[in-house]
Amino acid sequence: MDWQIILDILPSVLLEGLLLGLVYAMIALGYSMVYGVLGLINFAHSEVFMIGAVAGAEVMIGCVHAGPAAALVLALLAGALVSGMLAVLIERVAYRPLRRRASKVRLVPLITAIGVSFFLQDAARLYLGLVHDDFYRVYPNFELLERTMDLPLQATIQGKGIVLMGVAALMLGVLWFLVVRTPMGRAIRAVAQDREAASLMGIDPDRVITRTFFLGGCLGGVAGVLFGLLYTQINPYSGFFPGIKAFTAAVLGGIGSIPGAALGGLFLGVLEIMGGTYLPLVSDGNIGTEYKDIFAFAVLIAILLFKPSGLLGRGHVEKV
Amino acid sequence: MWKKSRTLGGGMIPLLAAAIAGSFWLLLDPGSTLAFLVWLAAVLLTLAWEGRPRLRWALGAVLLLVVLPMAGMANSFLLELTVQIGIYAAMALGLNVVVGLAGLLDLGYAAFFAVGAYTWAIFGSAQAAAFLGGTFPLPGGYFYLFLFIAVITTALVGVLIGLPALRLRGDYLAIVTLAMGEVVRVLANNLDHPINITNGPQGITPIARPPIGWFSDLLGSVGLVLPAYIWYPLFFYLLVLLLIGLITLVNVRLSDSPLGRAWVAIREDEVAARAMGIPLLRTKLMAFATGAAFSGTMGVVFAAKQLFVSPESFTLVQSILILTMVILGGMGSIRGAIVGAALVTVLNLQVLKSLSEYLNVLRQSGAVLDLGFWRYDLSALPTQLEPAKYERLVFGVILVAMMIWRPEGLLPSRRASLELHQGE
Amino acid sequence: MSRVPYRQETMRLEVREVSKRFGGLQAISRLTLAFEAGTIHAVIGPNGAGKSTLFNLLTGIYRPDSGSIWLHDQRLDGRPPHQVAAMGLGRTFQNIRLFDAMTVLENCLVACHHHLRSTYLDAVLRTGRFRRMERQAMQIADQALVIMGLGVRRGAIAGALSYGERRRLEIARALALQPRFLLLDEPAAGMNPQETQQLQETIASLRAELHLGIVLIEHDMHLVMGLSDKVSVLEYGTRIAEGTPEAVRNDPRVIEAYLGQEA
Repeated sequence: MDWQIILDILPSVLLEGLLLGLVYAMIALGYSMVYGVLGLINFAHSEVFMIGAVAGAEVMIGCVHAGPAAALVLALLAGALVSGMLAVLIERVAYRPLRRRASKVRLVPLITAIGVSFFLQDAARLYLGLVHDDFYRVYPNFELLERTMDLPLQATIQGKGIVLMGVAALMLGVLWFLVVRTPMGRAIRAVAQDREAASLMGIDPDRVITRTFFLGGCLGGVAGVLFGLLYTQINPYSGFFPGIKAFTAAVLGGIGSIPGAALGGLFLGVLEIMGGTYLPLVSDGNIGTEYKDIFAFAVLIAILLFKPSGLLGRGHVEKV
Repeated sequence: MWKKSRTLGGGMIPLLAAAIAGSFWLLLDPGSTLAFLVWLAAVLLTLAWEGRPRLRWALGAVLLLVVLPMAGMANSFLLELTVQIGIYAAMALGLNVVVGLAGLLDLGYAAFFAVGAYTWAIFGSAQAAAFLGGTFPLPGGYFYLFLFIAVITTALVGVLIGLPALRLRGDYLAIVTLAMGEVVRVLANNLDHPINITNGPQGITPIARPPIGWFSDLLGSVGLVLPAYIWYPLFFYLLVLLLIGLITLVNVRLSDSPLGRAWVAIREDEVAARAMGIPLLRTKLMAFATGAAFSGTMGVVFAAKQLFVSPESFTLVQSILILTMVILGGMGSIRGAIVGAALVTVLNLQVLKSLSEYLNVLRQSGAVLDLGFWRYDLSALPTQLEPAKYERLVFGVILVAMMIWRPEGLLPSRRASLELHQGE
Repeated sequence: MSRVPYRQETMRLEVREVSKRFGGLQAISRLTLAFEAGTIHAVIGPNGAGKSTLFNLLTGIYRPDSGSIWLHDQRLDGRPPHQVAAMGLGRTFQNIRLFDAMTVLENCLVACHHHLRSTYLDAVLRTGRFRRMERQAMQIADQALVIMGLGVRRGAIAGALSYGERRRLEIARALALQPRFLLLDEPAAGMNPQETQQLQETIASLRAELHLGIVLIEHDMHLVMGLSDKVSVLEYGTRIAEGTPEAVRNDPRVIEAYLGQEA
């Protein structure tokens, strides 16, 4: 086995991991914020992400003649809006009726979320089937986005990689600003801490929850478009693995923590690409790339067992 | 007591009507899907009915042991379908212990089914020789032994998976079991190298079936001379009925035992349950292992019946499929689990497939729908519009709709119906 | 984890130098208390004084940061709640925590099983031992229900009981554990005067007939003064006074703690 190869490709492996990690980070925030205000793992978030990616593909294909910049901006906007509105719709139709009933059975919202997730996968499939008589969408190629730039240490980056970094950084920054610096963010944090107390202070929890879903959905949609740009092909089941990995990232960073979700996402992205690239090398092909999806699960299981509050999260004491 | 059964016996006449109509229809026309559905409705009504126990048992016995086998001789697909329903019903009963009684949301339940199926598939085929050497497959008679071995191995796997997972809070448990279910599938898919244990994505075939000479002799000795091709379907049908009976018995007895009460107590309030002396982890592990064991046994039956297993049969969709059955029937309800399994299986294997075929016929007919103001050429129906492929959509709708409108399920357990509607 | 024999006059439940901190809040600091079998010992104090935290420490739900907890000569701290329960500490909760979907009787049966072991196979095969254990459990549960005046409600679903009945069922469930010490967290909260009066008599009879040690957290001073053999007063997680109800009532520090809070 050649250690030199491992070292030589390290910069590009790290870079690729970073790009994927940024996507995970953005999805992770959606899980984290909803978990914060509702205490619910929103299984459907992976489909919000996927449908954002599909919407972005549709717009980008439609605007292919408008040039890369316009197509990209419109696709990102479409992804953000469609996903944001979809997330709000899901909350209205599926989750809110359950809150009204205030059932004691904890499994009810969780099972609902799984149901919504499954429903949306096939709804997207139905859409693709009926409209395009096809099973997936492919992001169009723009020469500008595919163009490769040389970086130091033999690493290279494509135009779309730069776009991804810029957009992700911008989105994460805007979100951080919204949550930390604005009254809306304060309200979200208040509801996350104690919904009843917040409503006594004149905050309408339903409105805050709606906004949280919208914000999380927007981020997920943008992440979807970026993911599509990176990997070009999107099908109705494309959301599943990124979703579960992003959830892992959220837990890893400490669910409810924004910097935590970002860090967790980056970590998982890098881990996945490194594992997928190096394991076959190290094991002489005996352990293949097929296992890369298992890394996320291993991390998830390990972190939940040994430090369920995550790396940046605070401990949780159940009130008795 | 007498009075109660009389008032609840109100459904007797429709029940008898359905039973008689379904039976005759099915016997006269064994190929009719509709006749089968009426027969199935009669079976399920018998199950749901709370009237006279003796009549109920007699009716059930006639429907299951006389009518269906007789119809099955003319159309062995009926046996095939009911065996499939039965396998799912048994798994739903297992998951019902985990989700319904103990309140633990297990999203990787199909993994246990896989472990059971692979246990027999590997040793009941030449596959084991690939990594153990020696002469395999084992003789088919080992099948009966493996029914028990699978109980033990899957229960052990349940404990192994549960030991870390069950320390977690409820919602984290769901996602970890989902992850572990995927891990099992990925392992089944990739353990063809470096050592070939599972034969990877190609799956394992042929798998030995149990020798049933004794069964045909038995049939002959009571004067039933049947064509040979019906022996196996009939054997598996009766075997599955027997296993469901056993599993139901275990289920009923456990749920009315200290362990069953401990499960419900944990589901209701973990803190209070611990304060009342219930060891949390051990009690949850028991639920996990019990559910796993049921599923594993059925895995063995599945492998022998199909003659073929591959990772495709043990996906997340399978886990959710079984969850949907439990939710539809009613969490914690034994009869509900069976009814849910029957309804979802029929929907999945029969109704959606028939719809697909019907659409195909429409497509090929070239007919044109003409509403005067709007014309539609039916041959233009998109080929992607195939209901049989949209099982996730169907499960999703069932899950969400049940949670919103009827979380206690179609046949609620005594305990659930009250609780879920408290806050309204 | 052997059980100490019943009616041991010297049985004590002791808290020695226990501290517990939540984030920035020192809920309990170096607290030392001793409860004796056959007495009713009230723990009072203003809200946030650490009374419920004390119960959670005693029953193993929280682990103390330092100090130790003893039942007779056995150490309790560090043991999981179900072991503590099996060793003889039964409790109720301030915000009633019943198994709502189960019947009244089943609620109590759940508590019986830690000392009636029948195995998995016994249950599946319905062996003689299983039936014997079930009968015994049934007896214990019924006894507890009769003591708390719920005998006629045994078949009702717990979630459908009235508020007062729910409070009493919690006590009955704790009694079905056959505990040495019974920890009652505000048992009279939300009860009307008549129900409270009845509860007072029942608790007094528990001490007399079962020789239980009863630890009582209660805000109803009338109940506390009328029932207790001994009263400990907590404030900010420490004991500020202890003695007979009479002595505590006249203790200037207690008066200050309470008046200071109300003013």
